[in-house]
Amino acid sequence: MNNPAVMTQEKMELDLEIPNALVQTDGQLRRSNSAPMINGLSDNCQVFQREVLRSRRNSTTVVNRPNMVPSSPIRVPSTRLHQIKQEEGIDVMNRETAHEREVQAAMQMSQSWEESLNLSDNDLEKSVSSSPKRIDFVPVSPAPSPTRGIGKKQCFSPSLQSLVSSNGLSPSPIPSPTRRFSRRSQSPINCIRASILGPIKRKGEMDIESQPKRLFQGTTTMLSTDIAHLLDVSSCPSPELLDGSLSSVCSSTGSPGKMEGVSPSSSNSPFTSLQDLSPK
Amino acid sequence: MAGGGSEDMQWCFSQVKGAIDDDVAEADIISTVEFNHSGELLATGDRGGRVVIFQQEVENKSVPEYRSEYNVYSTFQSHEPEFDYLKSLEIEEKINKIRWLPQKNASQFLLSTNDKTIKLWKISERDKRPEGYNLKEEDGRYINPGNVTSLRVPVFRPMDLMVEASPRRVFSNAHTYHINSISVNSDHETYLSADDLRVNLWNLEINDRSFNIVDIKPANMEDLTEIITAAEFHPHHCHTLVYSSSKGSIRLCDMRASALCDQHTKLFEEPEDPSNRSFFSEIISSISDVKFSHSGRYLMTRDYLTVKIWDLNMETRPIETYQVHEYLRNKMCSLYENDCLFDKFECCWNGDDSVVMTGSYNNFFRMFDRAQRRDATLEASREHNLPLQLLKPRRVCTGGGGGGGCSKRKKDEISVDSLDFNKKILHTAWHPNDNIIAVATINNLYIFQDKVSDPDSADDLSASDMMCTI
Repeated sequence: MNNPAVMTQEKMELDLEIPNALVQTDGQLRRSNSAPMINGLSDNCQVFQREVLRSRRNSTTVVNRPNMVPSSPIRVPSTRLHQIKQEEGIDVMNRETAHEREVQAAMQMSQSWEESLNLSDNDLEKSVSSSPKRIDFVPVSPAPSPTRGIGKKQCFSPSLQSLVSSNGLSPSPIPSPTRRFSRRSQSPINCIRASILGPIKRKGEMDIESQPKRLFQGTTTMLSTDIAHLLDVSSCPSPELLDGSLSSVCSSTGSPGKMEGVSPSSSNSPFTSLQDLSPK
Repeated sequence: MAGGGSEDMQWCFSQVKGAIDDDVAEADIISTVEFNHSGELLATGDRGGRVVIFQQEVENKSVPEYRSEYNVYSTFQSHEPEFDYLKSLEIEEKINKIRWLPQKNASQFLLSTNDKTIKLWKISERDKRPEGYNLKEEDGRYINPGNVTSLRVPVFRPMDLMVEASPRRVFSNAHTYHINSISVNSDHETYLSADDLRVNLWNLEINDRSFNIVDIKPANMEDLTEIITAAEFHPHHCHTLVYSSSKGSIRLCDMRASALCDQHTKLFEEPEDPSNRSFFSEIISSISDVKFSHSGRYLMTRDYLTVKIWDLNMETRPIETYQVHEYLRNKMCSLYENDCLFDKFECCWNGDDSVVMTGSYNNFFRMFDRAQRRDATLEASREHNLPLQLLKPRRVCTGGGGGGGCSKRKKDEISVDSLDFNKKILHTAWHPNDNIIAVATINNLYIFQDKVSDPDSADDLSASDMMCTI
């Protein structure tokens, strides 16, 4: 094996412990901690990365450890204070370099992981063709529209206990065939995922209980025909954001690159019975 | 508090909001709860970036079984996940704090913030809409101009109440670190936002500029020893603010003294008890919440194990210290392992500053009656959800030996080892005028009210749940 692959192997062992490793997951990004993860301090950086990834975003202090050795395998108190100190400790150039290195390593790892699982004879061909696939976990997404978020009303009717369009009319009963099964990246951002605290209809009022669970995979829209159209007329900023804006209001938690389904309760139409659509 | 005496407050269940099932979606986890200044509205924010506002239905207060019901009034998506391209990092849409503005006209305003961006939302009602357009159908489609034969002017007709939420201001790009607090000033013109190292002052009307008033970032980051955990304006003095630190100290700043308030005016710090010193001392001394009393005379802080009341006139030590869950002091190793030691609990005052409340684990929450020197442990649980059902006080026993060590296993006692640390109550709120409290478990919102004592009506108590007196 060539050197990168060997290094990849070693790093992979450590990475398996990382709960949200860039590779194994579906491209979930790290959470913001106001600065990139520093990863270039030493070859043992992966261990340290584990600790940083586990750190909480809170504001407690760390017991004074004047010489924080990142290569220590034991768990160090990785508090918010510690996080900030580490992130600010190295200059931008090193940070960027380290970040690039980490991204490249993750991509390589992903590739080699796929190759090792691939049973095809034509490994070379597969590796070439599969390499573009993994790039999307660092998404190049369009900037959020500057008009988004300003002046865009979201209207709610307490009597109907549901979202309505801004002109107050009930939405027209024409279902949109595309909305129903649209995947997350194409969904319009005008669809508000129902909050768990929103009005919950009693069992029996829902006419979509028969919907199979798999319909929720990757969808962000309503299920029943007579409310799917709600999205069409509800106040929505702009259709140009259909190309997969990260700022999708429909998006539940997780990174934009995540293509798998959100939890069923989250892809409901707003304020319909969440209990009925739970995965149980 | 919850006890047998008639003068004690007894709390009973009013409502619970949210789904029943235990499989909680991350986005549904409640991250903040706040009453508005009149108490008529109750806002919650969650990790999915949504805000839900409940409105109190005004019922007939003369009825003994008066129940103030809160129903969904409005909901909107406040923040969305964003992406920082420069750092290749995702910015969570989780709502960290909501603060209401005092009401000035028919509309309501609130500030909501995630880690990086604060937004001012206007909540307004609409109950009329124009009908009878000349060129449009009622559903908005345009009529073929050839079919229009007469002229008519649209008129306003009543319609079902609609509540609109529109973002009026977006205050962004002012914080390098994570915003942990926002606080509206008593001048109703400005507000502060605080992150781990800085506090900024904004004008509500101006969103492209903010003043930095506190900056504790040292020139050399190696010298950084503590960070800002919470900040708040004084309720009456528009020049006074406080911020708490991860080392357990509170600094009061007077903006009249200088433009930059890096030098504090007062420092509230209690010397550490040497007998309690441990590896975790610093972690548990970190203050997770700071709240002025309504009177403005006192300050309440919450650290991991205690609630402390400070008199603004005395910096050396708090005037009152309440143990929230002292039985956890011996469990800190395991709490550190499961990250619970870093939980940030909030605390709140009641309307007349006589009682304070904070959350704990196992869906317990604690109330401390300052005047009567009593405290109570209550539980927010699905099991006690009959209307107006009284909450029984709970107790945690810590006796030694195996099996929990509770000497008499009463129904309302639980041993420390049986506590569920996944069920934590971090966010609580108290109605500004009445004895109505909102308690947020992970994904449910409980509303409790004090029982309107009526000696003649005994039917409020269900047969199987008799109040047990302490």
